[in-house]
Amino acid sequence: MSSARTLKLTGIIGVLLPAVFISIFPLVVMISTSFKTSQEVYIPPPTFLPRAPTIQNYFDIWSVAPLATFFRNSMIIGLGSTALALILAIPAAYALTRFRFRGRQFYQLFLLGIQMFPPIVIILGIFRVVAGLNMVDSLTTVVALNAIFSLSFAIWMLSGYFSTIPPEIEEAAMMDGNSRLGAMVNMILPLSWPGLVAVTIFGFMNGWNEFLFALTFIRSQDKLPLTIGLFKFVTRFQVQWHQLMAASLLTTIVVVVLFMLVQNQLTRGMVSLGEK
Amino acid sequence: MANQTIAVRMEQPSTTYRALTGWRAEWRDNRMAYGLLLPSVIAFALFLVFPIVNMFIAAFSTVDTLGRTVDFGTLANFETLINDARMPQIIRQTAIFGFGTVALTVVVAFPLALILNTEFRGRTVAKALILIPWAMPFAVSAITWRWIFHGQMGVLNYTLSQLGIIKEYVVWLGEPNLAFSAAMFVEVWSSIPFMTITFLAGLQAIPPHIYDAAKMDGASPWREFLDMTVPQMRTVIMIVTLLSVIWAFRSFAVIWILTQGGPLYRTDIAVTYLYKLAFTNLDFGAGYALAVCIFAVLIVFSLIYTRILGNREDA
Repeated sequence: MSSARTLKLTGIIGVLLPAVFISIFPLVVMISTSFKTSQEVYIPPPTFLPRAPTIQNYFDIWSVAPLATFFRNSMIIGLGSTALALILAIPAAYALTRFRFRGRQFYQLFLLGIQMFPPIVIILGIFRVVAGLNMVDSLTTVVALNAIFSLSFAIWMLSGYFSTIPPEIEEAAMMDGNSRLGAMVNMILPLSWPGLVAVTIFGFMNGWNEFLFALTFIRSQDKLPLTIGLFKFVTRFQVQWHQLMAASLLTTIVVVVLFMLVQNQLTRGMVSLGEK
Repeated sequence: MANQTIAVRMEQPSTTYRALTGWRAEWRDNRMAYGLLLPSVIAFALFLVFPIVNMFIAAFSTVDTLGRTVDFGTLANFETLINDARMPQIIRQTAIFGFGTVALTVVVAFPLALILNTEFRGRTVAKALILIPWAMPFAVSAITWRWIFHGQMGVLNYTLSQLGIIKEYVVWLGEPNLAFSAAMFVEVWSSIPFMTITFLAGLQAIPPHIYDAAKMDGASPWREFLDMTVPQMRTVIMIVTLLSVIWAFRSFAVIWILTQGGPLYRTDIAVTYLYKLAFTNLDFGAGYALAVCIFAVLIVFSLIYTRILGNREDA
């Protein structure tokens, strides 16, 4: 027993602590740098913690870069793609759980298969189609593409929630004069709100973290989302790291808070993919 | 015997008819399901299936300067790719990157899951902190790592030199081997949360009573781990590993932000090279060919993955 305890203690000190340290390290560096003055960042030696903490960077970033525009665009992509994904996913998930139609299994396998498909592999094909539709340099394109790549997870997750609701509940609602769709909207959706919340936040995070589609399709500066906007900063000749880290922290806070809110549902949903 | 004959005779002329009525009944019962599925099917068809088909056609055609495909049915693009002197290097780097990051992630994530599966104070906090890399926007964390690796002002060089490990500052992202290792490191860093959580879920699904017998026999924790835990976790490990290999193809952003494949293509993997071929070198033909090759590899992995998942769901 004591050997097991020693082993556990060794594990916590030798594996867990370093892992936690490395996991949060970039966040710590980001926070620390964002409160430094430009002299402290550029005159060696580097420091871990700011010697003279300042919040000046958080005021300056709004004027040195069109950060507000980047924020707005990321919001549009995050909210727009989530809304679109939900509109498409709710009916599909309902059909998959309440009907035993031909091709149901095929569609489920298809969803599972594309679930993990990295968009980069087909980006050239998407580029051809988007160019053909004359939709280059448009936020709509980025919204639509993000919705598509959140869609299979959304359908999968919502099906899981819908299937736990007994069909009798809808039948009762239909007896009361609801149509089948009405019963779905009035009875099923309210009952599966944890799933809807999880899917919403997952979709929003996907859109917020979006990189590839905006990199490929967005040309005008006033349509760039935060991720690409900040990346363009890095590749410029002179990087103002203290300002960049301040903007990065604002970008991060939005999704980290959301993530922590639905951490349990989200991990359960994602894990069920690997482990169903 | 007589019954059987009748049944056979009745069935024989009617297979087509039955198929038709079958479909009619199917349509009558499930019309609504098809209606509800239609929007998502159209969306997938337009932005997923159509691009894939389009890409395949383009890969086997000549693409003119305006991006139009002419004379379908040529292997010229694949020949260009085979004659590309950089391809062997790219393939080697992709394999090392893909399998290397996955192996390293398993090696870190499995012990982490084992520890998080035990009771101790601060466990919830530790779990939440381990998840941080997953929650952070990937582009932003890659930018921050670039800052940490910075040659003159980066905190990594400073720390290592303070500890006496290095004498002179290292240009982490400028030297090919170091840059490649750095990219792998960041990829592992970002993959650990998902794998740890999946392993943890797998461990928690192991019925506790299987350990009772081992406890009574006085088995060491190590034997208990090898004889009980590992066999129970085999499928989970297999599935997650496969999933991660597929996901390693997602590593586009980390490399693009850290090094853009440089210096001298030494940190390029297939997906970044594909992007460069098309959008930097404007050699779309070779790009399509490479994309089709990666696609084929991914399909094989995905089929194995769905096969394993399917088997488990039947069981």
